[in-house]
Parts: sequence; structure tokens; C-alpha cells
Amino acid sequence: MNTLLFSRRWLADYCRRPLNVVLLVAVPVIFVTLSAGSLAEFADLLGGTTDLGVVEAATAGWAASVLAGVAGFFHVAGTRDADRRLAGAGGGAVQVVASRMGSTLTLALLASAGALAALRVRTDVADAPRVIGATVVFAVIYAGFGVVVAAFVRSEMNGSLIIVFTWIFDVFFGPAMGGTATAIRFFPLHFPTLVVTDVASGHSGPLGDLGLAVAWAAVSVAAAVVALGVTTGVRRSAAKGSPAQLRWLAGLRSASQQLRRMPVMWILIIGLPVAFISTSIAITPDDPIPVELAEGGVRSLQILSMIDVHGAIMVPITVAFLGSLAGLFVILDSAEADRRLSLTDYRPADILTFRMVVIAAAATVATLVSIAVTAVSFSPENWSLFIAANLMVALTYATIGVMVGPILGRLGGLYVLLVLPFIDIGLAQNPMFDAAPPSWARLLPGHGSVRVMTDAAFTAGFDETGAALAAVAWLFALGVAAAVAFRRVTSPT
Amino acid sequence: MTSIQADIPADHRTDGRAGSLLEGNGLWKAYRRGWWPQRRTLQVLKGADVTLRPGEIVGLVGENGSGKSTLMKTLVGDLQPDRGTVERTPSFGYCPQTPVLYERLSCNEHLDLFGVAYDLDPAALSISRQRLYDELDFARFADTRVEELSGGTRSKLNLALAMIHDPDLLLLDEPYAGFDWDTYQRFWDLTAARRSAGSSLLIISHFIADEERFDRIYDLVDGVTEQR
Repeated sequence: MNTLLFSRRWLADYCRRPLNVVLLVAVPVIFVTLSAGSLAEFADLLGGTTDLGVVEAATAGWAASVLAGVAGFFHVAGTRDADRRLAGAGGGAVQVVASRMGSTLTLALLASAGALAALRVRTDVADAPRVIGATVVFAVIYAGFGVVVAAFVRSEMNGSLIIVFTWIFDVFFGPAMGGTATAIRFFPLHFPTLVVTDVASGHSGPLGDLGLAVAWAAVSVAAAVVALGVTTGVRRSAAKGSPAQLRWLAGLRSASQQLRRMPVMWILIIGLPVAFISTSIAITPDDPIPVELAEGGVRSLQILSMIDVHGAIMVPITVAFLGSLAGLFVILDSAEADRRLSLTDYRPADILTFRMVVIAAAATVATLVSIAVTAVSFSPENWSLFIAANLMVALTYATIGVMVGPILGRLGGLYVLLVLPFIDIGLAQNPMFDAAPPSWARLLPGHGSVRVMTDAAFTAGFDETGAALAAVAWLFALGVAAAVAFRRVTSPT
Repeated sequence: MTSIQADIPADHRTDGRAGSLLEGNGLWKAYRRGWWPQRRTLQVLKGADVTLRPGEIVGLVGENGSGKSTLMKTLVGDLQPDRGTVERTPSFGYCPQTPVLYERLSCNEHLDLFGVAYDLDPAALSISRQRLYDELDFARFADTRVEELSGGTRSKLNLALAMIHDPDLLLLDEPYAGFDWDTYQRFWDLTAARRSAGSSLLIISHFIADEERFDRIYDLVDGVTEQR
């Protein structure tokens, strides 16, 4: 009940600022009704979409997005402190966040409606469901973006500039204007623009262009909710459960807080795949290369594109590095304090479990980021198996990091973990060097997972059961060894 | 011979030796360093004995390197004695000499984690946390991460973690290193209050000036404890 009441108040508050109402009307009129034709011709001149009609339709989405972005920003930027006060005064932080999000999305819908009405005044809309749906997605993405900017930027001037400049890049360097740079694929409006102009990107992976456009909207809303939660001061309500459950929750929460606050780790997890994989693919010549593959139980040499092979193998190389570093740093960063914590009612096995859960989470994020970067230029035959095999590599090496850290320490462990993944995945298992891995490569921990990864990348069927079992066995054995090493750190000596 | 460690349930306390909260008997501990053929053994404890009864504040003093921290770690279970036995109440808190903390957690997050680890319910945890903030005067750093704290505030948090569950037995290894004079006075007020409530404290100290604050003092000399 409060949520609806609050939402109505927020909308009234927003509309009582004359500039907001003027923008809601003026932007669609200027951008769509008056300028859509010029923008379509401009796109044609730049070598972008030549169908003037679909570019005119896209202008509705562009207008709706900038309006929604600015609306989301101003809707939250000026009310952060008042919202926090209302939440603290009994309004309930969750209700304040829900109502603020509800009114922001209502503004996004208003912006979409205005832009679509302006488009209708100008021209007939050929494919109405596509244009209406895409325009709403445009608006929701930027509304969420505006809220996130408002959560971090207090200055109205700076916030407006961030949103408008991002939007300018997004629209005028986007695919409708002929933009082909790899970097623009990561901009929010890239996929919605392709959807509204009915052009297939060819790099959208299993979700497809429409799926990725909707995913962008969902992520944007989720990020906005989290940002609003932070600015409104949502506090986690006291957890309920048995003492043992509470202990587990507290331990896991504490471990994840510590991981979240390791900025260097996150810079590596996000930045290394982008730099490492993109560069490797970019410098690879498009030459044929033989790779041994199994299909229907028969092993044979197949000739593949070197770019594809390099794109595929760079994922396990990268995630092996990142997984092992996550294991090493998380374990060593907290080793002393974990030893103290083990003097309480927590057992060393509990503490190891907390650490392993967050290490596995970091390894999973590293794997997904690496696969997303590779997916820009390479699509494996079997997506789910490709993801699972790379995740296996990441977890295997994360476990090695956990095991090596207590034995060799930070520096010694770091050197070993820089060399081992390179020798195992980068050299021994790498089909770029040998069509099939040499016999000694079978003794290394990454062998099974990389065979499965190669199978999933280049064949539709699954013919590497033995390799998959070997990978699981390695992970289990390393897990036991890591537990023993961790026990040494936390137990009386 | 391996040591046998057993815990004394809190409700088994009686007067005299059988009612002690902590008993370390004949504790031996050596550190072994290096690899053969250059393996060295440093014998630190050679049969140390410590007993704490309810409501006592006991000091443990000794020269640098005499093995005070080793004895303390052996008593809390952080080190395994080579010989001897340790028996202690399960309700104990330990404050190590150097603050052992998670760099990326705030004071509140530390106290919450250790409170839950000691099975405090949320209401009791909240009261205990606020009481410690007030007693040690560091509430303004409640949301500050350890990596941003001064040495003195780290020491306060280090001590607070040992006391969050209001244990029957406190084992404190030079807890006031880094405290200013005001906090140092607060610390002794706090220990007096705990003793009045029936808790016992074993405190490693360097300060001869503290002598009158202790009920008993153990000197650790050549790996053996001597009661003054």
C-alpha cells in the first residue's frame, strides 16, 4: 500500500519540475518527429543501415532512452537523502526502493509512449510489436543506468553529462550508424538497436540479439535496485534460523564481503580476459590449423580456423591463471585470522568451506567473463559443455591455488601459479602447438578438462567421457590435498 | 608423549584445584626450524604450570623471548604442547599479542562474525557489541574497515573480539599495547568489572607498575613458571 502511495508522490514530485515536463515533450518532438529523416540519411551516409524506415523507427528508442536516462537520474539524485530519512522514519527501506523503482519504470514507459507517439505522427510504423517492444527496452536500460549514476554522482551537472555522453557514443557510434568496432558491442544499446533495425549481429551467442537486449534491460533494473538499496540504506534484516545455520550464514557473508573488497582481484578478473583474449584473437592470422577431434567415437584430424582455435584455447588459459590466483590470494589473505576464528565454535572445515565457496564464485565470474569476451568472435558448437569444461579448469586451478598457498607462501605460490597453468594449458594441452597433446600432457591436471572443452568447441556430439572423468578425479584429489594444506594452516602445530 | 586436552564444563566449577577454569600442567614446547642437516630445535617451555580459579586476575611476566606468548598459545589451543596437559573451560576468549584481524572487514562485521561464532543471539550480540564500543570508546569506527584503522583502534577491536561473548576465562597477550593512557585506564576498569562478575583473566604484561592490579603473578624463567 505504502509502495503505491510513495510511487504516486514521486511521480507528482517529478512532474512539478517544469523542465522535466518540457523535456518529456520536447525531446520526442525534436528528435523523432522533426529529425528522424535527417538521422536516417546521416546513418546511410556513414555506411550504416540503409533502410531509412527502420532507422526512423530506431530514433523512437534513442529518444526514449535519453529521456528515461535523464529522468532516472534526476528522479533519484535529488531525493537520496530524503529517501533515506523516510526509510529510517518507518517508511521501510524496501518499500521506498520498490516505489522509487516503480516510479522510475513508469517514467521510462512515459518516455517510450511519448517517443512512439512522435514516431506515429511522423510515419507509419511497419512492424509495430518489434518497434514498441524495442523502444521500451531502450528506455528501461537507460532508466536503470540513470539511477545507477545518481547513486554515485551527486552533482546534477556531472551526472547529466555522463548520461548524455554515454548515450551519444551509444547511438552515433552504434551499429545503425555503421559502427563496427568490437568495443561498441559492450554498449547498452548495441543489441536493442540491432533488434529494432532487424539486423543479425552474428555475435550474440546462445541468447540471440533479442535475448541479449532483454538481458541488458534486466541487468540494468537489477543494478538500479542494488544502487537504490545502497543509497536508501537498506540493511539486511536479522537472519533467522538455528545457531548452526546462523553461523554458516555469518561465515559465508563474511567471506564474500572480504572477496568483494579485493579490488585488484576484480580488476584482474574483469580486465585480464578483455585484454588477454581480445588481443590474442586480434593478432592471430586466419590460417588453417589441424586439430585432433573425436566425433562418433572416431578420432581424426580436422582443419580449423586458427582464430577459432586460439579463441577457444585462450579461455581455459585465462581462467586457469585467474582461478589459481583467486585461490592463492583468498586463502593467504585471511590465513592468520582464520586460525584465530578456528578457536571459536567454527571448525577448520567450516572455514575452508566458506573460503572455497567464494573462490568458486570468483572462478565462475572469471570463466563467464572470459567466455563472453571470446563469444564476440567465436561460437562453440556446444555452449553448455564449453562453459562446464572451462569452469572445471577454473575450479581445478583454484583448488591448486588453495593447496599451494599454505605450502609455498604468497611469493613462492605466485611464481608457481604463473608457471604451472602456462605449462599445462598454454603449452601441453594447446592444440595450436600440437594437433593432439603429447603423451606427457595426460599427466597434468588440465588435460581432461581441455579435451572436453575442445570437443565442445568444435564438435556437436560428446566423445570425451574418459577425459571428463579424469577431470573430475583431478578436482576431487586436489580438493582433498587443499583441505589437508588448509588444515595445516588453521590447526594447532 | 602427546598431551591430552579436555574441557571442564562451566557448571563443574568448585573451589580449590578442582574448580579451576584453566589448568596447564607440565607444559613443554619446542620449535623446530630448518631442514636436515641444519635442523635446529629451540626449547621454549620446560614444564610450565598455570592455574586460574574463578574471579582471579593473574599476570604472566618474563623477559623478551622467554616464551610467554608460546605458553599463552598453548593454553588457548593455538599450539600443541609437546608434553603436558591443558584443561580449560569452554567459555574462554583469547586476545593475541598482535591484532589478528580481517583487513577488509569493518569493526561491526568482525564483532558480528565472532559473536555468531560464539552462538550469541542477535539481541545479546547487539548489547554486547554496544557495551564494548562504549567501554573501549571506539564506536565511531564501527563501520570502518580494519585496513583504515589506527594501531590503537586495531588493538581495541582485537581485545573486543576476545570479550564479545562475555566468557568465563580471558587469556590476553599484552592487550594494551598501542592503547593511550585513557584507554589503558578503561581497560583496567573493564577487567575489574569482569573479575567482579566471576570471570578470570590471565594477562601477559611487561609493566612492573601493574603489579598491584594482579591477584597473583607467574614469572616465566627458563621455560618454567614460578609464582611470586
